[in-house]
Amino acid sequence: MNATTEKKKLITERYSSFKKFFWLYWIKLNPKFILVSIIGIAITSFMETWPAILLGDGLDELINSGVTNQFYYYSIMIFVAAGIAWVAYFISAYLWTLAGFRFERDTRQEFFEVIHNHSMAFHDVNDSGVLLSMGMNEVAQMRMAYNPAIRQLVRQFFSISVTIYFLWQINSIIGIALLLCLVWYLALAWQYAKRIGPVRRKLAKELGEVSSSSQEIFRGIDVVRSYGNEEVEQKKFSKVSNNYAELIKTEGYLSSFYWPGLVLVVFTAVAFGYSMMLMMSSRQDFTVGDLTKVIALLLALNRFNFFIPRLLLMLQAGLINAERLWGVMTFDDPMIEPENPERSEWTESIVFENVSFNYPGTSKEVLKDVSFTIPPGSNVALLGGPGSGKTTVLKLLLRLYDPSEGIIRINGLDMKDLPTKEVRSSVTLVEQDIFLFSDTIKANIAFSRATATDEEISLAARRAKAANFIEAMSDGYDTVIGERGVTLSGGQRQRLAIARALLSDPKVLLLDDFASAIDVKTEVQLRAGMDELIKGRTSIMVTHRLSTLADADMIILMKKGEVVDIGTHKELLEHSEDYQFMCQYLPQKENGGN
Amino acid sequence: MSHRGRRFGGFQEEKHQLTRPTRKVLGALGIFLGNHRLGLFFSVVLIGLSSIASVISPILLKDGIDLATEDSNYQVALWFMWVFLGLTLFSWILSSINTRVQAKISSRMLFEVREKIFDSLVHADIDYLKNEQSGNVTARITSDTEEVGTGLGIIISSGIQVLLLVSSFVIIVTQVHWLVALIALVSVPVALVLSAILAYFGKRIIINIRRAFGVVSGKMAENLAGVTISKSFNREDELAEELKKLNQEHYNYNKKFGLLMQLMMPTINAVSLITLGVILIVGGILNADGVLTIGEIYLGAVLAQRFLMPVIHLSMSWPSFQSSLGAMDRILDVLEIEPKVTDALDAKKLQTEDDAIHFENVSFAYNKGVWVLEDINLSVNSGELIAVVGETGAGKTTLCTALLPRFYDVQKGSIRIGDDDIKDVELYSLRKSIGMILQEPYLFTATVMDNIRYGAPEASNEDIRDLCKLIGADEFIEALPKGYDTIVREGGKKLSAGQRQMITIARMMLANPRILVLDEATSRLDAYSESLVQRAQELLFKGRTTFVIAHRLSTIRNADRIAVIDKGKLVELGTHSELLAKRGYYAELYHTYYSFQGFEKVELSQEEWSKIEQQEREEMKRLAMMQEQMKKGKGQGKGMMKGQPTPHGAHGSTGSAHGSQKLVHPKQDMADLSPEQKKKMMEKMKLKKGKVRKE
Repeated sequence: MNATTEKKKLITERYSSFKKFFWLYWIKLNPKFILVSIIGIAITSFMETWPAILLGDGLDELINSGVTNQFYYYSIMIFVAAGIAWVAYFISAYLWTLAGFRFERDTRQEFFEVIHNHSMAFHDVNDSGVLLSMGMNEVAQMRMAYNPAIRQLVRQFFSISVTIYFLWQINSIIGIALLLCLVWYLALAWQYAKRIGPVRRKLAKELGEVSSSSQEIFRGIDVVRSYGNEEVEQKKFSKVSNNYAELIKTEGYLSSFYWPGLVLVVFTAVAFGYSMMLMMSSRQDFTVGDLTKVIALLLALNRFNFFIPRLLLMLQAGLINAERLWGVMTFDDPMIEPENPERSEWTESIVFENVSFNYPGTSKEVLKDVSFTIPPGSNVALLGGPGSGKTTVLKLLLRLYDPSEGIIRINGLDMKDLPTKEVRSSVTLVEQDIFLFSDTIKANIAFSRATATDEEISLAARRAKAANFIEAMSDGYDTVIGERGVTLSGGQRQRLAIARALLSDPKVLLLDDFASAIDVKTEVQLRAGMDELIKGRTSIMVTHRLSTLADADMIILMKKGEVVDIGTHKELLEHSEDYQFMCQYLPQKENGGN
Repeated sequence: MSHRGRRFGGFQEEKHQLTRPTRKVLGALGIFLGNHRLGLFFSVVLIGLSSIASVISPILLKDGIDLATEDSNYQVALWFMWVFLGLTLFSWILSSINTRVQAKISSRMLFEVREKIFDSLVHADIDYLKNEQSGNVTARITSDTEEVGTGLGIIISSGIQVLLLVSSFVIIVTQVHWLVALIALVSVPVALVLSAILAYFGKRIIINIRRAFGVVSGKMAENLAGVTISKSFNREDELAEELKKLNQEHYNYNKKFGLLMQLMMPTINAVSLITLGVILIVGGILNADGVLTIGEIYLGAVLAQRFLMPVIHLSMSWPSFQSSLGAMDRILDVLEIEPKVTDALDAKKLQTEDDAIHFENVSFAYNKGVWVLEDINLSVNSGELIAVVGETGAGKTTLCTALLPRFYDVQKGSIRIGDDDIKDVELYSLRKSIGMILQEPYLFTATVMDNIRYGAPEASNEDIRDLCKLIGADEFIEALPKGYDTIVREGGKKLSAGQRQMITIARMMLANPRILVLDEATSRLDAYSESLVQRAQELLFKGRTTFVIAHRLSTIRNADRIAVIDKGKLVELGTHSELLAKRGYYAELYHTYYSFQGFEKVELSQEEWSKIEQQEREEMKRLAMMQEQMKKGKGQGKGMMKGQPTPHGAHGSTGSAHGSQKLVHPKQDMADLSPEQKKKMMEKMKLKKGKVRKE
């Protein structure tokens, strides 16, 4: 609720593209860390490269003058370099790592907040598993692009620069040649990363496929067996598994002839021969020490060759993930909060004026030109077969979606002018498939009103006829339910949902009636809870219960997204054939049972 | 070498004690490798050759340096360059080819392992599969197999590392000096200590990181799943706040890990530089004594650097290797499964003449000694509709959906269909003959159309549409974004429970089985849909042997006979009126539950209320006890046999919500189906056996 006071600017508002987001946001988070870190990396790179020069100088000294103080100086400087490198490495890498983890933490948080705030139009079309994996794994992968990938690339960059500088000092031709070679190398390596990157990603996807397809089969193994489909499934799985194996092979093949590596290898060999020749031809300015320097520096470069492709791949993956996250976060939400928000008292009628609706991203109209008026305080029943659009009406009333056409009026105001928060604090929906959080019972009931006292919570539970079973549990209201806790029966979940709704004390209640067959004890209690819930407020209920229909102030009969008829039970029985037809199939009053 | 990212370090969450001797596990690994003997041999040769090359080239460098200190000519320099170039190229090509060979071998091998595991699992006893969580089963096929692959990679790369280490050592001793070799060796214990420290602290931190990551992930998953609820109660901000705390916790552990890693990495580098310095000093002194040449000092310095990485690599990969042995061990568990329920050697097809079903002295227990069913004797006539009634956990579901299709074998007695004992019948033909609707509607990731077609691959789209129209599913399916071609995802998350159940009903009906088992088949449907389904069932499957587990009074009363089960025993059997007249257990059940089904308004006396509440409390106690027992009994028989252990999902125990009358046949026709279509449907659904059924 604090978001109302100081609205912080979202990532998506601060940057204009995913590239900017990728390159700037993490620097923005910790500019000082990164600055210090870069200086530290430069020092580390120098200190780790320098010993090769010291080694050469030491050897020269040895050849020329034997074990002198100068020789010891060179040797001891190697230790000094090691010490400085240690300190500089630690400071720079640690700060950089922190910056990376902070990025991961904040981006994950923001990603969640942004997508969680997207409307249902978004959540309907996006698989929650995929979103989860983006929020967890892909954000982590982005972090890996910063640390270690970019950090190491910066380090390699400095090391290479230092190497080129030293080589240049020894012999300018080798220095220049190396520079050119490295440019060539990097170009090749980047090409390589671009080629293998997609294969890697495909590989990850295929592994997901292997995993989900086997999981699915074994979860539903009783279904598989009862239809005798073991062999069919085996064939299907074999295909998926084979695809995966082939991809692994392809990836291995791609990485086998790693051409960029060849560039460095050949360069080292040629530089070796060239240096030897130099030394033999002009001993005065090219010494044995120089030869060892050249070789040591080049061999060290060959080690980088081992890391660079991996780092480039990580960087590339990070960029791609940034683009994906960006795409999801900048979802163009059709649900727009009003610029000049109105407030409604919900004291007058709720009116549907020619409302049509298709779920965002689909073209199928699930509501067609629906019009009706619900007077305040009335109990309305929605009746219709599955797929007739009843549940959609409830969702529109909660402003989970806006109508594609037509207007819903509350107290004469267009619902689009009411903020969603405002609508939802006045309207409460009790769904058919109840969702509860794996948390305590108390927290689940109080989910509708965080400020509720214990007394209010237990009162709501009592009114919802839930108190009895809650109190029978050893931990009472503090019992944890869900995966790691107690499993509740369907009827019990329903009653918790009723208690939750009671606590929110809505002006308008939306109810999706429970399924037909729950046991009778539960049924009795549930109905009592529901009666309690609809008392004294406008209620709109999807139902197939004849008694409820008979009691309703108004019945809206729907069929294939259209309103077929409106009236009381009596009226409809008289003039609506559809209603008569439906009623015929509804369970009638049992007469005696014998 | 391959550039595939190897995970750094092998921090495992817990140590897995192998259940078999290491030798046996390694042997099993050997068997899988054995299929690729030739390729592996080739690969070993390649590795050997390229190792030799990479050992020779530093010697070459040494000789080059030493040569250069003397006077020589260009030719020699050129010659050296060519040899060096040749060697490095040679080594590059060999290792490239090797990477290729290995890619092929490992991909094929993992494929084979996967196939074997899958094959073993798909034929394993339901008992086994249900005791293992589906996540675990999947882990065998995915992560465990991958881990075995990693283990193989480790064997190979460790081999190479050891080879390099040993050969470097030998060269230093023979070509340089024992003292230099000694100095190089000093770095080995240092490296060991470092990796031990890393492993000791790192392991703890990593466990915490994983846990914290799991908590964040779980919370996020839950919040995404419950997004409608948090929106409708305006709770987005609070949930974000909660997540923030968890995020921070994860970050704190990450920070610790960063500190540890960033202390270790520079230390390794520093040790390697210090070794270099020491060798330079010692080498210089030895050189002054005329023992070492410049080239030899250089060689020593280069090779000494090669000591550190292999040791660190080896000690880091040891835990991963152990865990991959653990994975192999678990895989062996799966491969060694001997299914108990299998086709007998002389198994035959189920006869097609007689659909009478006889349970004779059947006793059954999921856990030894805890009888779920005892001495059941029940003969169901061909074409009879039999309702099975009893409290939650009485054994109804076990009898009909576990024993009849022979997911489990009975411990005592026998089950016969006609004259065939089901133990003597091919499982395939047995299960094909029985159509079941299970309590939990289960859908696959496929189109709605393909889900329905699951049991009848030859059915046309038109058949499916007609059937759906008949049972009233057509309307909601058509309203889905792509109608029948809409892909069901995540087990049908976006469908309501009722819609999922409708699809499973259509699937079973389309399969057109001889015998029907309906376990609370319509419990999630609204009353209107339920009645449509029941009419369709009556229309299409009247006269087939049918077991119904139901709470709806009309269904029970319409049954030819009612079997009443209490605590695993068949206590009463007869028609509704017979049983009522008996005034026994059924009559009691009826008066407590079913006779309620007619009520319209909740107008109960205080007494009745307290009775209901009392019963609920007792039931909760009973279930709590049952769950306790389950835990002790290692959770036998959970999952599918839902009636047994835990109440789950949106249905309870006994009794149905609606009183209902016998269905009146309306003048209007049901749903949108024309009479011709309906007739066609009935024609299609006729049993292909050509047998005339008695009415």
